[in-house]
Amino acid sequence: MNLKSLFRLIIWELEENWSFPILEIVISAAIFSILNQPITHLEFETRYRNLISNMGITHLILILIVGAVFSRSFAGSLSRGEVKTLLSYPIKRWILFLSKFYTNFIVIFAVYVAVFSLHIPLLALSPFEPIFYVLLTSLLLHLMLLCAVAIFLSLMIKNEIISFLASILLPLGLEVIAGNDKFLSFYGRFELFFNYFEQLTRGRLPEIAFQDVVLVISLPIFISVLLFTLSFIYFSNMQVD
Amino acid sequence: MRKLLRLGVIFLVIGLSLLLTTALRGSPIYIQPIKLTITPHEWVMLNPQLWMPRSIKLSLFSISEIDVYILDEYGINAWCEEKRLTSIFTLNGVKQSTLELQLNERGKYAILIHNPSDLHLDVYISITLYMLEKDLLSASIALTTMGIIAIITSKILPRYATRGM
Repeated sequence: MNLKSLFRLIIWELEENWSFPILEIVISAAIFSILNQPITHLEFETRYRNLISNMGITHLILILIVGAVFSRSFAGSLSRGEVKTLLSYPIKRWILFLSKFYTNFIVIFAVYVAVFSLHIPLLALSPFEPIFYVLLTSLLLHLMLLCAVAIFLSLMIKNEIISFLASILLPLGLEVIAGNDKFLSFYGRFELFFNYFEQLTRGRLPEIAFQDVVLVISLPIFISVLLFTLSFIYFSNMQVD
Repeated sequence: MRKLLRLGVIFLVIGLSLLLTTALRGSPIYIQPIKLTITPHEWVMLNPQLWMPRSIKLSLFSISEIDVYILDEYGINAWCEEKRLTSIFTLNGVKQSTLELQLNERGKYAILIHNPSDLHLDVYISITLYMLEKDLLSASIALTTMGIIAIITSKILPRYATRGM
């Protein structure tokens, strides 16, 4: 029964939140941000390095997309009274929360994976190139963190526009403050993670400590889970008006 | 019909985005000039590179005549494994030349140089890749066309369906 409700809510969320032109804008933004740079690393053995040549813009666009989509889905539906209407039906709050999270998270991740996959033919890479999957894992961790931040802010602020601005400005501000810190900034974490697995997959002994990699992976997971749990508890108990 | 229309719009958006991306990626790439010193009668193969289906301008300068061969992946393997020469482009007896190539396939390519003379030669090579990537351009045009066809079909089919009734 719960699974059926979840599935129906996911379809409702898809129709409501991903209608024309939201999906089209997200696809277009993902294509521009990931593929707009010409191939510059022409050495055949190191051509996979082109995968990361555009990570700065990709990161920026991802923050914008996540901020817009999650603010619209959570804060927007609260301010428009959609959540109140939905909760007047026999729907459990945690199912509504999960349906919103799953739908938006899966669609954004699927679009990014699909666009990143275009790099495989464009860079003449093997579909089993480990660096490609390292990049996707890094993207997944980062997307989880951004989604958790955006959901938390949307539920706290409950105003679509302000929560959208906060979801963009907070990660960008933290990024500026953190500079190139290898744990706090996205680019620092990404570089450490990428370099470690690059050395590992190219048959070199990694110069980066394994503990650093564990920290780089566990830090976004820990913050995501914490914010997600807080948001979940808050959504389950909050007054909807 | 609404689903077909949406699918058409998505294809159109992907196609147009790729088209614009192809234009952005079309800026010329200049590879740092390479200087080689080749001993008499030596064969030198430069490190294989990833070349896109773009136009390639290869400028060569040498004090004496050299032979230049462009090898694709098959040619590279044939040369490395059996020392068999299978090139896609050959230029014999050049001292100073600029050649332009139109590649049709993306992949691994390498430049092989032979010094047939009895002299130690300094050879300078510079490579420029320019024009649009043909495969990406074809894919974006195909997706845009598919999108337009799907949109038109979704608009035309209901009229016929109504007439049929």
